[in-house]
Amino acid sequence: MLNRMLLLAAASLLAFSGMQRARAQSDVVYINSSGGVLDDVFRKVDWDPFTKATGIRVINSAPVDNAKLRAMVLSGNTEWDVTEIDGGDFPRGIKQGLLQKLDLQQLPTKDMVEGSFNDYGVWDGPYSTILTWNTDIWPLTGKHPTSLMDLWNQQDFPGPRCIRKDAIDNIEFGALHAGVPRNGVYPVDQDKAYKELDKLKPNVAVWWTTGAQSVQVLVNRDCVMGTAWNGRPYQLVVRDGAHLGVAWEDAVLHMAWWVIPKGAKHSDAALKLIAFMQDPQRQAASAKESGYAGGNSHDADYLPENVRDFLATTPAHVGVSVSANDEWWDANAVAAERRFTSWVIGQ
Amino acid sequence: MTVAATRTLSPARLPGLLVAAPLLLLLPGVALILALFAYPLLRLVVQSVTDPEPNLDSYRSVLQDPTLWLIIRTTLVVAAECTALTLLLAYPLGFLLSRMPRRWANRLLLLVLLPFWTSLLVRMYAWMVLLGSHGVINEALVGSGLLAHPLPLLYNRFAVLIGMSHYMLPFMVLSLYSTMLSIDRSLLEAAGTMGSSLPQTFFRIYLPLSMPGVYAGCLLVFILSMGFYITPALLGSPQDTTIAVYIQQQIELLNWADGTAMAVVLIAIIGALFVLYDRLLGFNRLLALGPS
Repeated sequence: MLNRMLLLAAASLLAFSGMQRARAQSDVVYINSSGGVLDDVFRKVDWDPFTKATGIRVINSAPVDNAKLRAMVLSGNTEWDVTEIDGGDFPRGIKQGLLQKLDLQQLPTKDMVEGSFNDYGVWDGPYSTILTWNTDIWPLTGKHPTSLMDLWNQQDFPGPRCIRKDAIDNIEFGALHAGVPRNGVYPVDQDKAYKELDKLKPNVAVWWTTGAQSVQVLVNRDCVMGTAWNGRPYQLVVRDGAHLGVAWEDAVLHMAWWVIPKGAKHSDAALKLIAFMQDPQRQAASAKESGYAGGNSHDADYLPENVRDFLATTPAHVGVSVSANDEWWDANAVAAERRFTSWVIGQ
Repeated sequence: MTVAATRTLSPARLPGLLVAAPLLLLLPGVALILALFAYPLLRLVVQSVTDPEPNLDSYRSVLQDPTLWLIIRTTLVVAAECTALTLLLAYPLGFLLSRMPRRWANRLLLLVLLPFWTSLLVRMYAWMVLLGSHGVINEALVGSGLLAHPLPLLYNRFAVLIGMSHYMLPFMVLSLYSTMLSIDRSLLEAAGTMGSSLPQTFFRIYLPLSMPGVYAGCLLVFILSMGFYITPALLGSPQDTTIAVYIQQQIELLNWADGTAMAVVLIAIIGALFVLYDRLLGFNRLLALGPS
């Protein structure tokens, strides 16, 4: 008797949890992004207002993890409905069949910048790898670094450098310093690039591995100048009044994309959320806090000059930048990263 | 019913039950290990020879990669250095704790465990703040006029070892402390009354008796140190790059064939070290079983 009662209780509990799950499926969307400040901004500007407007709850996770994405899709248990994906990972993800085709009809494509969307993804935050330096040493009013090439300029700007411990961007900078024009960087002539990087290496005191570290080392004065993703110095300057300057010449412009993984359980809600995040005013509000703009052509209209100075999409910045070639990186990443690792750990 | 069952249980069957019961109790643990560790590990091995096509190409490319061997050497050296430093720091601490009144020892043990309650990343940034060229330590040294230039404390092997042994200390202390507690103090007193000097008592009586704890602690710390990832990346120089970083790089690039092959190579190396350790020291001594 007791057993039967227990069984009944267990069964009803199961049924109840099943009901809960069935209900949850229609009113929730899981989004995965880079985390940190960005998630706080998205939460405030996009996700909470989205829940208010549609009744669909937004549950976020971090960080962007391509390996996890592949594991999810291959194991048939896709937990993310939307995720960010960067650089060469995007074409690689399409090729490996990890991503869903988007119904572009559901997106406000006529207001979005050309190239900011395609069948598989929509711009999340375009970002650039730029030069940043401590303005206590070289104030903006005086002679100060103006280009990524000043990394090599020990004569005018002496002191330890900080660059990312990764082949990405660095081999592009090396090629540019060798005299390759910006529109001819790809395919990257790595032999040429490493000859220049060899000259830079003795002055690199810190090889950063996280975005936070790239600006931290400038603030605590372990380095005087280094590379960083543009949002990082922006956030420090705007929020904490840090003394950092940024230079855009020869920067490398990257795209991060919102994509829907194959097998996503709430792909309708996912597309709705992506469409919602294309609103120019909301993208401007988000850029104001994070330093990363969106793909809507009108978002700049809502932004003051001092914010546009820090955005990757500002036309004056795009004009002096190299656009990262995701196809080249997709095809060459494994070999290029290995070459870089072997180079960087050598004495 | 139950009463009758107890009665019919013959004395001859009792030992069988006594053996079976603990085995049954082991079952959940074993099942957990099989499902969550052995099975994924097997999948890893399979993937290393089948992704993208069934062949041994990944092993060929990995084993011929000079960078990998350089990185494996670094990983082993860093793990050994960390183990030595941790032992050096933990031994006096374990000794002190084992000699204290239990009430105080327990409180101090809580302090030893404190690092576990803080995120690893937060601790790394704390070390960066302390050790930087304009960090707390250097500012104090330079500011007080003791030094003209800041010491290079950060972004080198020194910082990596500080960060790693800070994390590993509790493992070593606990391992030593439990062994030291079981050392019979009257043996030390007996040695003293027989005219043994303090160093003699330590090296001939105490140290040998504490060795099981030393072996166990060293093995634990060494193997855990092989897997360090974020600490060398944040506190070290590129020369301190460890195997975990290299494997992660392959996995992130969806180059899973090479990544899994490297992981299998790493497991094989650790396995070989394990066997060597057993040959040299014997696990029964490590576990303080049997005569030693």
